[in-house]
Amino acid sequence: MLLIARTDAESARLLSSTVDARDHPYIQGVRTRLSDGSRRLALAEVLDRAEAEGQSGATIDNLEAKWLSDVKLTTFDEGKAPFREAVLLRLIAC
Amino acid sequence: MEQAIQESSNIPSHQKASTLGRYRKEASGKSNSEARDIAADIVGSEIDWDWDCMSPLIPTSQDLFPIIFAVPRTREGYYHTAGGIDAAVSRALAFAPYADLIWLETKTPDLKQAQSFARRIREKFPRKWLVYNLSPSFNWSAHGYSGNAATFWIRSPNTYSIASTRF
Repeated sequence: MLLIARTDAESARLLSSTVDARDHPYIQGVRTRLSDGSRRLALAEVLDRAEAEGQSGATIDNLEAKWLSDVKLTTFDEGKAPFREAVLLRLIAC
Repeated sequence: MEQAIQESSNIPSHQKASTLGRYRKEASGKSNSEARDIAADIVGSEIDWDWDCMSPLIPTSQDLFPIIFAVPRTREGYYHTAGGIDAAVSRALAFAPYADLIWLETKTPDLKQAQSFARRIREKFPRKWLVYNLSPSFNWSAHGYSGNAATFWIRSPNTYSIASTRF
C-alpha cells in the first residue's frame, strides 16, 4: 500500500475555510474602506440585493465582475492597505 | 503590509526594504492573527485588510441589522486564495512526513518549475518520492515539448523517482 499526498494548491483559487494557518499567507483579502472612509458592501450582499430586485443573470454576473475588479484582492503580506489609524484620524477630523 | 511599510512615516525610506525583510522573516510560517500583531508592532498601527467580515469601528444605525461589510468571499462562502507554487510546496512539506509519495499537481508542464519544487521538497526530505502528472490534457506542443509526455520524462531522469503517465 502506498499513501499519496496530492496538492492542487498551485492552481487553487478558492478555499472553503481559513482554519488551517498554513493557508493564511496565501488567502486574499481586501482593504475594508473606500477612499472616502466609508465601508464597502460585501460581495455576496451586493449580489443578493440585485437578485432580490429581480435583476437578470447577466447583470448579476457583471456586478460580480465589477466588485472584484474594483477591489484589489491581495494577500496580507502584499496588501496595498492604508493604516486604519489614518482612517480614524480622518473620521475624528470630520 | 508591503504598502503599509511604504506609506509609514515612522520608517525612514532607507530602512523600508530591510523592514519588509524583517517582517517577512518574523511572520514566516505564522498564522494571520500572529502576522497582524507582528505587522502592527513594526508599523505602529493595525493594518486595514480583511479576508472576512469585520464589525464596524464606528457604530451606525445600520448595526441594528447586521450588515457584513467588505467581505470578498463568494456567495458560496469560499475564500479567495492566490495559490501558486509556494502554497503548493508548503502543503507538500506539511504532508511529506506522513505520505509515501508527494504529488504536486500543476496546470502546465514546466520542467524548470518541476525541478525547482522537487529541489525544495528534497532539501527538507531527501530522497522523498515524488509524483508528476504527465497529463494527456496538457497542451504539450504549446509548452515547447514535441507532442508527447515522454520527452519531459527523458529530460528529467534525476528529478523524479516515479512519474505518473496516463497515455
